[in-house]
Amino acid sequence: MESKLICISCPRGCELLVQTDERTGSFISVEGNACIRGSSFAAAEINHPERMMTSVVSIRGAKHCMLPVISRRPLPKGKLAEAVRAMRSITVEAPVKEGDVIAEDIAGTGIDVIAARSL
Amino acid sequence: MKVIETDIAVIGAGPAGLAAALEASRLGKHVTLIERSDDLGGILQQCIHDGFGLVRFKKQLSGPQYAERFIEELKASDVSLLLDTTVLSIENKVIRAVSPREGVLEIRPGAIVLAMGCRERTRSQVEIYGTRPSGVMTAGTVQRYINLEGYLPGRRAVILGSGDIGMIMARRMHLEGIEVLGVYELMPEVGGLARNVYQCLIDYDIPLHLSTTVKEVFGNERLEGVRVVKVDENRRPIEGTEEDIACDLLVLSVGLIPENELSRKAGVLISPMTQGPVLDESMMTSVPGIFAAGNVSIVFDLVDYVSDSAEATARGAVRYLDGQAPSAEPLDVIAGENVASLLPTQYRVDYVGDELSFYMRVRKMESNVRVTLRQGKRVLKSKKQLVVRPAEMVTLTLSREDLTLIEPDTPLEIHIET
Repeated sequence: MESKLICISCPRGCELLVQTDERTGSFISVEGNACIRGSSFAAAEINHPERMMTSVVSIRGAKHCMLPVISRRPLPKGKLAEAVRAMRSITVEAPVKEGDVIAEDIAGTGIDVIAARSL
Repeated sequence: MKVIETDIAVIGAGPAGLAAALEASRLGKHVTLIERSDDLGGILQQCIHDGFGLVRFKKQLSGPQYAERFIEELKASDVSLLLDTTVLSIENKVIRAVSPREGVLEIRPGAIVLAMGCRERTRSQVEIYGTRPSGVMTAGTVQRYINLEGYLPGRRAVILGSGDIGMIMARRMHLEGIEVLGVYELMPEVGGLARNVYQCLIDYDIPLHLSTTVKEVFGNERLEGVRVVKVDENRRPIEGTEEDIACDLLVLSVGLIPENELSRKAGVLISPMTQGPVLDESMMTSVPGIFAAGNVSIVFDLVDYVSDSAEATARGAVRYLDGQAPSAEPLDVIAGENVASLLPTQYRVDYVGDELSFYMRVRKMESNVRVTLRQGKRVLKSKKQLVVRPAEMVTLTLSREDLTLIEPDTPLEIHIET
């Protein structure tokens, strides 16, 4: 089966034409990618799509009331909404350093969420 | 009144100002960085999504993470920082500023770097009829409310304009529980990057309506709805295609304009092509000793290029202070085929920098093109490019060796040709 994707590895946004297995839906091959990242993106996007999670949590005692956070690695795409929801109930105390762990093992993914800035 | 003497004053501590201040400081100059808010990093601090830094750091950082790298370096440098300080005027290279702590300040630098960034176009700059209710705001304002202030400015949103910030905010609003009813784009093609259509709209089934615009808004105190209409190839509304949509938030992502109120006051010539100052190879404006960096000069697509070009600006300012500023009569650099805007537009042959980058925006999408710099009939530099799109900047970098090919008589031209 053929499907069309747009590579999100960089701003170039290559249009990818992906061949997948009729029966299992798994990745076979890709064309249209300008670089190697396109082929690994296509395979991952078909077999187990992932996205970085970025959101904010509440912070007390800082000049702003929200602290930007980011997942340390991309999350399975299906876990994204749950992970963002989980951020809403978190409040941290200042000072926070960029890279500090804000939440561990988010949405059962084993992936930590870290502070994206010092505040 | 306090008077501050410094080598280089940088106005604005967003990505351009930070990079320019650091580069000038690395080159041994005393730098005073002036910022109107109480925070460093400018717009990056509310751009919490990832995708920054691929060119410079080979990493996908979020906006605050990208800013943090510069802020950490700034803290370790001897750059003087004036936060909470608003510049009121620049006259004869003297800066008047005001801050709640210091009152009115006078800053007397040897050179000035303008790094005020750009502003979003607002409702008054696009034709939307109707009442003036609350709930109509720019994408950047929505981003600020959600990411910095921590509250949601509506429940049901319509987005006008398919710029990158609009699409990124579509995803952000959706993930925070705002119902995003659709993105409406006047033009027949999407305004932002293809990757954002994919990861911000398609991922969440947010519909994108091309050749469709918001014609009118309804509601007195609060926005109650908008009327959308399809447009023909001349962007005229097609009668009978109107549709009313109930919503309490209209998000505008309808373009950015370099912010040059201060530049104008300083007597700097503004280019109708870029809407920023006319700049030479050293990123110097028409006023000697006043330079420009980042989105104040042309609206960049990637922050990485903002940082790179701001460093080039700082090097130009340092050469100026060291008496190495070129003095030859400037050659014009002409925007040729499929070049909508271009930076810089002047070149002096006695420029001594190591390299020179041209930054361009194209008018229309084309595949398998050559980006070519010509002087008369001679081709000075040419590179192949797979695809060019209006949403993406095109760059052409000349090495010291390439630069020696330029002769002092004929204007330069850049063409993007198939």
